[in-house]
Amino acid sequence: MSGGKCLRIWSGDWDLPSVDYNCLAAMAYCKFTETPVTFQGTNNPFWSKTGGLPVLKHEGGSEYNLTDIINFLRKQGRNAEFGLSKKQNADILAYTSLIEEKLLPALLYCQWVDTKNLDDFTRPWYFKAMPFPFRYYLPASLEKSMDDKVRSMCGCGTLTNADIEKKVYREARECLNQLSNKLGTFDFFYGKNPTYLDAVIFGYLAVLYKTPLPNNPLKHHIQSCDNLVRFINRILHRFFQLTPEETTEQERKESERQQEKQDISDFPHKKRNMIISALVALSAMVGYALLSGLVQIEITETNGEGINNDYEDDFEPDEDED
Amino acid sequence: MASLIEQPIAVELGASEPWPDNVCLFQPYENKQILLPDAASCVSVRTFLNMCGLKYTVELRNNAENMSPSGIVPFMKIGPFLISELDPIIAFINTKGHHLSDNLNDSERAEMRAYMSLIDKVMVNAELYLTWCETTTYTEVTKIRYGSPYPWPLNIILPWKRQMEIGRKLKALGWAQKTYEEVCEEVRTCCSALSERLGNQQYFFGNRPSEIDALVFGHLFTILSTSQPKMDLAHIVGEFENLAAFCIHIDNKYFTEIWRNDSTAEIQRHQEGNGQTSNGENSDDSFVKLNGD
Repeated sequence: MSGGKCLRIWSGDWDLPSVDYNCLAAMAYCKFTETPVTFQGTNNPFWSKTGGLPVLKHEGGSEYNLTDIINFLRKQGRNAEFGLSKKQNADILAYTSLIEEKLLPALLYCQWVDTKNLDDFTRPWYFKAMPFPFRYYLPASLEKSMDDKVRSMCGCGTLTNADIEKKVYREARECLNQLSNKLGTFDFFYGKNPTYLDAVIFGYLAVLYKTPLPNNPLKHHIQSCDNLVRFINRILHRFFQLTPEETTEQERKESERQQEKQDISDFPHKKRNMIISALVALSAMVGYALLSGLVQIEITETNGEGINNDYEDDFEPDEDED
Repeated sequence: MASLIEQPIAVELGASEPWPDNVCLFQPYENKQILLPDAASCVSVRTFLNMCGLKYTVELRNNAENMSPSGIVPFMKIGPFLISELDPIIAFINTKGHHLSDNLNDSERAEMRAYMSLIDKVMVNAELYLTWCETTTYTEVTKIRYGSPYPWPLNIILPWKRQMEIGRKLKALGWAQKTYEEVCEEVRTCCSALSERLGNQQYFFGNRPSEIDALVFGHLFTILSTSQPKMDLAHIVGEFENLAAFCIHIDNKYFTEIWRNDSTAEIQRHQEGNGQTSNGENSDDSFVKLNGD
């Protein structure tokens, strides 16, 4: 098998190899099947036919979404479901659609519709991550398509955001409980070896669990399901051990974030400094204006006075004459 | 309309009351108006009610879609409550003490939910795609049937408006971009999963019918028994012998038998007047067609 495959993804952050659930699932599946693939965090879905990542580039062309990527890998003999019966494969398909129906709306709602998360977290992250000209309009179009998706998944378009929120979180909690029950004490959903279902579930859970969203009720729910947390960490440790360079990169990002936090905690100082400098600038300008204006005023006033003086001058002699 | 929806909430009549006599299920006219996705969900709901052994009458209305609280048919009037769609109807009937799946354990129930999601995701979207996005079907069937209750300019405008709506929805879900062949392939994958799950059992879970049986029957039977310009979906479903046999078995057991056992006077009373009909209406007709396939 040639090593010429390249998976284009959203880059990683917060101990995750990628911040996107589909990218994570594709990466996990590649790792499960030991496919030689280089991961490339392009953060740019502009060239993708479907407008999204992951994209798998190989000698024969490109695969543009998760299902196509998995099918392509399976055709190449990279199959993680060899040992399973047909019925188990059918179950995997059913569970994948269960998660897509119940968990995906909640995840997308959390990231892209909840106003606080969107303003404080998602939008800034994607703005920073994307390359220069695209960052000004791609995040907005992503936002629009995600919003449409959540609404279409919730049925009719007449629901308010509050209704949607209640509905998606309730269904997601039920779904998480079902997954937790199904996993039980096993390492993976179908015994000792991970399958496509594990890759997909890992994608969703890892994003929900690891992303530091300001407003994330599902994180606590996952935390209360011990086996799901262990499942996430198991896959991260077993399949996504960081290389030394990645570790330094992580540390650099972490220190940057610390720095930012520092900056944020310095904010009152900063504000004071800004106010002082603004005041200085303002006073300088006003001073200059006054100074030059004074001259102007003085000139007009001297003119006025001059006229007055003229009058006075005119009248004075009259008075004098009188 | 709004007051009709709010009223039941305000009244908060206990769901613990027994099943009322005057329960109605509202749906569009079957022979000249209803479309494939709506027909499938109507059959699912009726199958579920028949499986529970609950009495109801089917009321045909050409504006059923606009009467429904969520804009989706069918919807039911149970005492003071108006409930639409299969899932809420199941949930409501469960609170009345009628359970189909209470013999299943937690993991089986989770699995059942998973298969129901599979149907919702694949079959429903494929039916919507075929009805609204596939050009031949849209011009030859959908446009005419959907516009049938309305006079001239409306019978052009309303189907077009609806097509835009459904198109937007399918686009957001990533289905509008698919080709017809890809949609057929999705349906085939879904059917083969269902066929694997069913095996040679009579029902999907255990030896009693459950919600999944009603849902699967509703969709597969409707696809098999509806004649369309493009019959590819029916051919795909027909490839799986155990699924076709399952449809025939459920149809015999929960429609034909009930139809025969019902007292004819009762049925005639319902059929008289403004388009009322009893449960089991036209199932004989469809059954014949199914055998023809």
